[in-house]
Amino acid sequence: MAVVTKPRHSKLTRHEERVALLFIIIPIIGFLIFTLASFSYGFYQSFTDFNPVRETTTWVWFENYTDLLSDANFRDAVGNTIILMAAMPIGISLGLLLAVYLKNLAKGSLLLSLFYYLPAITSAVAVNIIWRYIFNAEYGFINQFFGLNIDWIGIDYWFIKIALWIKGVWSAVGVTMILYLAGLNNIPQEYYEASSLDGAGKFQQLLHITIPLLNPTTFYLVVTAIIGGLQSFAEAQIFANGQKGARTIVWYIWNKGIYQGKYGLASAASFLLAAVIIIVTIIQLRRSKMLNV
Amino acid sequence: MCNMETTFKSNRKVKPGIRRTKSEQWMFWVATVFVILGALTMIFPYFWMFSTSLKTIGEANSISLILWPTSPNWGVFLDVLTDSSISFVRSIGNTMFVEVIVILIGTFSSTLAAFAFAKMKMRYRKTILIILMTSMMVPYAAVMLPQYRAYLSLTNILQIDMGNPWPWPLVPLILPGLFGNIGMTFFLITAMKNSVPDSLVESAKIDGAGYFRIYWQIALPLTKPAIAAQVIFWFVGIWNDFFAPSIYLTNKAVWTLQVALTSLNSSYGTGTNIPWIMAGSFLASIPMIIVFLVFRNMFVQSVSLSGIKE
Amino acid sequence: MGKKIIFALMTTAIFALAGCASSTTISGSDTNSEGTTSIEFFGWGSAEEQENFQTLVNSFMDENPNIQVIYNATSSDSYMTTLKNRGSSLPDVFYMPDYEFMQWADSGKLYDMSNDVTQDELDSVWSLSTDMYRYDRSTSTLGTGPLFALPKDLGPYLLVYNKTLLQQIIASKSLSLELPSPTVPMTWDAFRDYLKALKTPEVFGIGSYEMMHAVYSNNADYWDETITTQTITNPNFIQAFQFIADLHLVDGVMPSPSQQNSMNAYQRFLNSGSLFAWMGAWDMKAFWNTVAFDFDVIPTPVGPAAGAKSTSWVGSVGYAVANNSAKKAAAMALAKYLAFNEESATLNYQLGQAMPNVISIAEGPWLDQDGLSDRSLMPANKQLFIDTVKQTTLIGGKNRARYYLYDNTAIDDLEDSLEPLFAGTQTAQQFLTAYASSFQNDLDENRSYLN
Repeated sequence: MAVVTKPRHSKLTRHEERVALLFIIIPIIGFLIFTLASFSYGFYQSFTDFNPVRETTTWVWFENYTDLLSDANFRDAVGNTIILMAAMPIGISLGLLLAVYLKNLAKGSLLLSLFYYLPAITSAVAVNIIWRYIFNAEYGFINQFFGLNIDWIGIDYWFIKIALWIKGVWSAVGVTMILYLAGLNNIPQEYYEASSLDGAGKFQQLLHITIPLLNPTTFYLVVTAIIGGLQSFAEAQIFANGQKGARTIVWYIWNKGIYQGKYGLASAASFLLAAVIIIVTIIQLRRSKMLNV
Repeated sequence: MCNMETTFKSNRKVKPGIRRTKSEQWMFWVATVFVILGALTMIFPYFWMFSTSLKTIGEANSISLILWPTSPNWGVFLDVLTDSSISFVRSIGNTMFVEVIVILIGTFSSTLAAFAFAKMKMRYRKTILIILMTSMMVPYAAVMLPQYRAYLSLTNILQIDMGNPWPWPLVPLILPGLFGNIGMTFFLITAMKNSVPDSLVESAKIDGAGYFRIYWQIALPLTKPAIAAQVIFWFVGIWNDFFAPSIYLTNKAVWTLQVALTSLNSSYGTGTNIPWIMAGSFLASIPMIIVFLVFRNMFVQSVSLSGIKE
Repeated sequence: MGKKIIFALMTTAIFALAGCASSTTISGSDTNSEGTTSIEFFGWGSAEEQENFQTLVNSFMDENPNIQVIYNATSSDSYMTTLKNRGSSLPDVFYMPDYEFMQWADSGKLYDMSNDVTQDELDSVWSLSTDMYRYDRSTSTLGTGPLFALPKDLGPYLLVYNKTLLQQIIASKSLSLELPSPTVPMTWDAFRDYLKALKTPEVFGIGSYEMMHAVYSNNADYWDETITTQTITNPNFIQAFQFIADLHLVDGVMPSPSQQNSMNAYQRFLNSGSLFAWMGAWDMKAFWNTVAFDFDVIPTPVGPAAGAKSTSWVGSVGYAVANNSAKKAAAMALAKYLAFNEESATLNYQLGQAMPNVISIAEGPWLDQDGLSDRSLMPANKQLFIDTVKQTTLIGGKNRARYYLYDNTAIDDLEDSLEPLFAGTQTAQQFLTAYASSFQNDLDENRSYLN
């Protein structure tokens, strides 16, 4: 109907669109350089063999990938990384229980939750340093206090992982708790009232109301933990100081790439890691409907 | 929006004197004990870090449990700060150098883009957003090596004197941040949509305001709390960042704080000076703990909102 | 609120920038108007070693007022990474350790010094130290061809013992043992018996045993002369590895791998937790200053194999000059000063840094203990260092295994995999036979770089 006004709208709109494009150009350039170009070059590099001392590059097709898969060190790194993530259910459950507890207790909770959240703002370096010292076989707190004689950060395959699980739960509980608290606030109180009128006890309420309704938060936490766990490095480098039992995938990439200068091999490993993480992230994004912005 | 206090006040409309069964009360007390024990476990490493800093080297290495040193060496913190082989103070300066530049310019880039996505007409908006989102999917390990090689090539081409490199090695840590923080941008898109009314934007347009003015004088002030929260988060992230700095910053003059701390740990880590390492870790952690205590509301807001995008 | 944050950030920015700006030094240019050349010297070392080198560099600059040396050092574990990743913009003079020498010499990044040193200068230092830095790029052979680095020092790694503690234990156990001979190497059996006799609950016999010392002293090696085929399944080699494992598993005179992991042999020795350990000349200063006990060195025990000779590994670091350096003359002057100058050699041993590389200083003032007193007189058995690099009928010295490799993966992976052997779950025979093919693969990869 109002055909006469159309051209003017269109002109304004086009102007706005152009300015909008201008406004977003900076992040887009950043994306092009630091994500797209870098990742593509990394992918290309995984098919070459670059020697930093000789400064020569040779095209080797899939040799890096086959070398990678037949390298026991890489398989160990993958195994270690996955096993190190095994403490995740404990951290998440503890966080949930804490949140449930704190929700029913307004007083004093601020102080408690501050205590629990401290590890989240302490640097990975400091956390790993202090826990390394706590788990030291000869003068560490754990062995002294419990009268043990375990060489935690030693050659044994499992002890070092157990130590890292303990540290991992300690670090993660705070963030988990805060997220669950926010999730809990979204559960209408009516559900609890209705169920207790029906005779449900606290425990049953936990099991049948709280946990199911917190599924989205749980999902988010699990996925984030997986993505974070796959990229763990500080544990291998600082806590374990390169000890075999804690060598993770990213440690392997750093060791082969930066330290030994085998860029091709390291790029192959990073590409495989990235592929897995991208798939996991896509699953999470589709689930969380974050695309609706 | 939601601050710490409201997160914790339950929204129950039920009277507080609700009947609990005896076993429930008992469970409650047991749970309380555990929670308090847990809180002590949380804080214990920090206490241990602090008390060990004050010990003598012998006490720190001793096989018997020493909770608090017999004569605490309060000077250890000053010793660590003034030791020239670690240059702690200078590393803090370098860290602040990176922080300030990245946050000032990066926040500008992110907020400007967020405004455009949230409040302006844009063609292919959704497509562009999805493309940008992929940068959150790609892990750092996948782009680290190519960026490193590019950095090395540039170092050669520009003939940088690596014997005296300041501030060149800090550039790869600063440069990406200048282009904005995608997480911040996404967060602010929602924030701006909620806090900046379309009507306000329209009337400003009618008054003849340019888009930049609308961004600067309307959108920014109205989303200040959300922006501040994201800035704090970013600040802590950069302060604690270790992986990329450890790769690029090999010369003492350019170390950031976490790199200086790792160097402290590797020089004295084989039992030779544990009190210093603990003192260093403590000094490195205290600033962020203070930031957290001062801005705790913003932390909770950022963290919890990122998890419940429904 | 936001404004306050921005204000805080900006003030900190100004403070940080001001602080940092004032601490930058002017980067060296080629030559300034007074005709001074500025060169960069890059090395590694503990705080003490760095101090020592600054002293040496300062005395060089005193003698050469028109050369300005900017000395930089990192920690030893990040040195090679930093150097490798500097690409083509290398320092003018830098440390070139033996274990990376082949890669670097092969790459053409090191300056060929053959024409800049005289035969007299080369003869003034140990021949082992100069021969090892020769490399023929066309045939990929070490030990012949152009000279690519000048020796910083030779570091024989020798068996050291805590004399004070040893005498204490002999007295307290009323043993009729003598102190070990400074000139005649013990056999392995004699060494084991010696340590077993001295066993006490708090003190280990030896903190750890060097792989290469056992292998080399039993007439064995990791590979053949061409570094192509592995020889780790050779009976002498297997015997050497079993000997090391048995020190813990059978004799109980060496800590378990776990114990070695939580306290390394060096630390244990310093804490008087073990009688024997291994030392290089670079440990002298630490031993003078941080411990109170007397110490001395003795020859490495020799294995029972036919033709076996007591052999220790000799590590070395060289001074290399970048092939694309614009200031080669000044760089060579510094390298030659550090390598050949008699005063710098004297300073080296008086600072407890190294055995003098200049033969006349080593066999003269050093043996005569010139300028040394009290604790710095130790170790008394300086002749052993000299014999190890000169080679006598009873005593020998050999480059470390990694020196012979282009790519160190073979040795790195071997050392990484030793757990079953030292934990006792496999005998040396079983372990080495099983590992041999893996080792051969690594050697093949090493060879492939040189084709």
